[in-house]
Amino acid sequence: MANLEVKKHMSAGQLAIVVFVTCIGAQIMLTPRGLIAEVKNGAWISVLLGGMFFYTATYFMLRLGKQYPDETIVEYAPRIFGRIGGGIVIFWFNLLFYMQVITIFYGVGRIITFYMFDRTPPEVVVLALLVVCTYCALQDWGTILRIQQFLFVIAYSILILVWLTSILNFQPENMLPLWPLDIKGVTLGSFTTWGMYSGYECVLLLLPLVYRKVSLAKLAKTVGVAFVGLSIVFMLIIVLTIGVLTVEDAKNLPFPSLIVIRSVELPGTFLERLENYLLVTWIPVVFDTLAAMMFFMAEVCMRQWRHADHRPILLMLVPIIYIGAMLIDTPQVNEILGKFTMWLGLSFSFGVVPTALLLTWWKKSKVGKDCG
Amino acid sequence: MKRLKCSKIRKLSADRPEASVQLAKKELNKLQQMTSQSISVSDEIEQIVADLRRVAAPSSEPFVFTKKLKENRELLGAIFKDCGDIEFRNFDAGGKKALIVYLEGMADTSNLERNVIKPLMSQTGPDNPNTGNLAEIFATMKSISEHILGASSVSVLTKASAAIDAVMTGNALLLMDGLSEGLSISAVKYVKRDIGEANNEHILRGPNEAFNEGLPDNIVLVRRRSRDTNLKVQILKIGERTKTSVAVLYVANLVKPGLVQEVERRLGLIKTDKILASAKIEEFIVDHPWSPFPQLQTTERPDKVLAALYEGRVGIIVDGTPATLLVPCTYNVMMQSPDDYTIQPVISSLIRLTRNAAAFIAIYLPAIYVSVVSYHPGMLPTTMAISIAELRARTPFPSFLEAFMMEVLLEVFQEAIVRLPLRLSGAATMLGAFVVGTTVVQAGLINPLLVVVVAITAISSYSMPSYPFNLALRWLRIPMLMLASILGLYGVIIGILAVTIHACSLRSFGESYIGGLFDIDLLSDWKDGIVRLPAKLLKERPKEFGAKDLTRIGEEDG
Repeated sequence: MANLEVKKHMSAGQLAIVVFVTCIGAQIMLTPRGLIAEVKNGAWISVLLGGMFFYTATYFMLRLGKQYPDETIVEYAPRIFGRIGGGIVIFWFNLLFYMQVITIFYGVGRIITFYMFDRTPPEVVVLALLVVCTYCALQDWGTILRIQQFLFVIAYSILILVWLTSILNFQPENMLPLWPLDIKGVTLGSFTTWGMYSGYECVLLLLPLVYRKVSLAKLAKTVGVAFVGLSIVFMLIIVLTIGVLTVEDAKNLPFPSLIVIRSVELPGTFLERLENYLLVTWIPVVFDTLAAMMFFMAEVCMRQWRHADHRPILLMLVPIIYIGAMLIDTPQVNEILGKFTMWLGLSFSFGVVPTALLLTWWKKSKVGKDCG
Repeated sequence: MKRLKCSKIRKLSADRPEASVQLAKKELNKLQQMTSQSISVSDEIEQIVADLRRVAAPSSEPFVFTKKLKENRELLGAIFKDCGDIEFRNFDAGGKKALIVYLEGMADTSNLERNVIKPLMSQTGPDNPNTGNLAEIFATMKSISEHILGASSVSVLTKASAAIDAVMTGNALLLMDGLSEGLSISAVKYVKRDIGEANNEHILRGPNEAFNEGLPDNIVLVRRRSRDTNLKVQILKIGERTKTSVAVLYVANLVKPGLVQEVERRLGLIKTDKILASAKIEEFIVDHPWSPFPQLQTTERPDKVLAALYEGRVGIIVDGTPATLLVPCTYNVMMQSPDDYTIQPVISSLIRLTRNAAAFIAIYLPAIYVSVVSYHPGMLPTTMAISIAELRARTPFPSFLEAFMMEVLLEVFQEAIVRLPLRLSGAATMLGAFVVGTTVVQAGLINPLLVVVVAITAISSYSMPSYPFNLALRWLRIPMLMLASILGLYGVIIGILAVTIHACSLRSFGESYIGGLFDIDLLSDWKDGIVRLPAKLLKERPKEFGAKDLTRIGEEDG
């Protein structure tokens, strides 16, 4: 059979879109409360600083990937850290996705049940989304990439449009003081934004699809654009939340973003109760993130166990994900898990990846000397 | 005499043991067993042969031509036994016996008479000194065709199967005594429908010619519009019994490498007894036969076929069917109509956007109605929510059941109108409109708002340029209604995502069905996708189909 599917590779722009849609997920609704409570009026600066921090982490990943242009982290981690060390790194990497996936499922279940179906158990809501995410993750990467681009254009544009209606209730004085004095708090708060930006780790899996076509400089620039986009979206959410609700109100509400949009009134128009419209556009965004992460989890396992197909592994992972999401039964457990995941992610991005890069450079320089 | 009288009557078996009844019964049993065994063996052999062949009917060589005309005629006679429309015409040609075989009604007899029989009969015998090298001419079929026959297209056949095919296609078969080969003479002339207007693809401006059922006519309709020698036509025979001619059309220096080979490969894999319509071929060669979405574009219009060929796509014309297939097929091409290119680009773009919106409405509007009314009335303005609640209070059914009943009724009406004779379809339409539009609402069975919703949905689905795509949209409404009735708007979104995943996962000859719509690597295709820019700006062919030469408007060749 002729190979008519010529799209075996990704362009740098497509990678940027994948990073963007994998990062923006449920956290745009879930994270603002914690961040505002922690950093108060300086939350928008934390978001921007977070963007820079996590872009730096991503740049390390791009450089690491450049050292192994045809391989993913699953293949080169054992060569850098040894068989056991590499195994731990791969497990760590996959655990990151798993923890994020189960906390997102839990959050989505809670929000949907709370705002749309107060008499429906969250298990049903989660199950429906899990089914459709599994269906998506069962497809090949080419299909998932197309779905992500499709939803990138449709869902995100509508979501941002709906979200921007909250400008009508925006009170600029709620933002004051615009420049807080607690610089340390703002800087530490930027690491809390990891929950928003997380997902960029996917570049460690996707780089082999791009690297033969694109230089590191171009890739760094394009992914940088994705981070600029992410920072703008997150800043927009934080700024509008504080501007509409004030810091005090926002930190006392479970899902301030939805209250922001609920308070918008468009008198004389057809649209009322905008939070439902926001939720409707938010579900595809969450789906995008979840489906991609589930695919990445299955892909890591497939490569680790040297399988040819990710689908059986994915189907094995589905009940584990469901049980994991159901085991989070209180917001407190969710918060603890969120913090644990955050530290797991931060230490991976700023510990494991730079170490791997340094080790690779050291090994390569050693090989050069031996040859000489 | 005495001895005779005294002697007892003895059984025959006493003198001849082999004549005993018991033995006869025994032998008969054996025979019966053997017969039944032979039947089962025969069944098994048939099964083995069928398994080995894995074709719908035998296509092996039925016999071999000999040099004796009489024998060849007998062999052909056996093959064409009880075929009353097969004509065997014997005559003398150059002192030899000749036979011409043709299918009455499909072969042009006057043409045969003028260009074949008459020239051959006018040749005198080989003994005549005036005839010169006549013996040499009649030594081979090739020389006969070169020196005597006036027919435009002839070919020498050595295989009997090819000769039979030629006769069944409408050609004449010439056999001569002393020659073990035949000559196929093109003389096809059969009854056909005139070239008329497209029944299912009306346009306001532009050409209205449409394909008919004849393959040569259809190829001519495409060829006539282009004098490009790169426009190639490959003819294949498909159908083990019908041996239907199928033409594969493409532009050689444009088409994506491997696409034509893949089309021919898939066509070659079709092992069925009959091909009566292109739809049958479509079912065999699509990537996902279980999907409701049509994955091959169907058209009756030669201009549409030619436009597709110049985008790097491949056309498949089936003999006996006016509906031509085009591959690859994507959502984008399903949403385009030839009319888009005959009106102003701005208006055309607006129409295309409207069509996309209509496609969305055609699937999801009843589901959104059910979910909003049943689960999220708070999304509606208060006054509207109250008035809907009042309307719904008068009807006894839940909103899902109401919508479901309306959908079923709509489907029934649509089917009835399509199947009924033209004179009755008007009456059916009136009845449907009256009963559903007025009586059902007045009787308090259906909410009037739902009638409006279903009517808008139906009208939206009718606006699709492709009827098979319209059917796919209709099919998807029911599962969406169910999801809406179970999980409200959340269910609708889940359904939208599922449909999106399915449509993105579909491949039509390597191209994604809907995934290319927002593919950032194919952004230049937007110029003639969801919108249409003026012709001057459409300088490139769509990248989507992988055409080798993307330049459409460039500088003249030096």
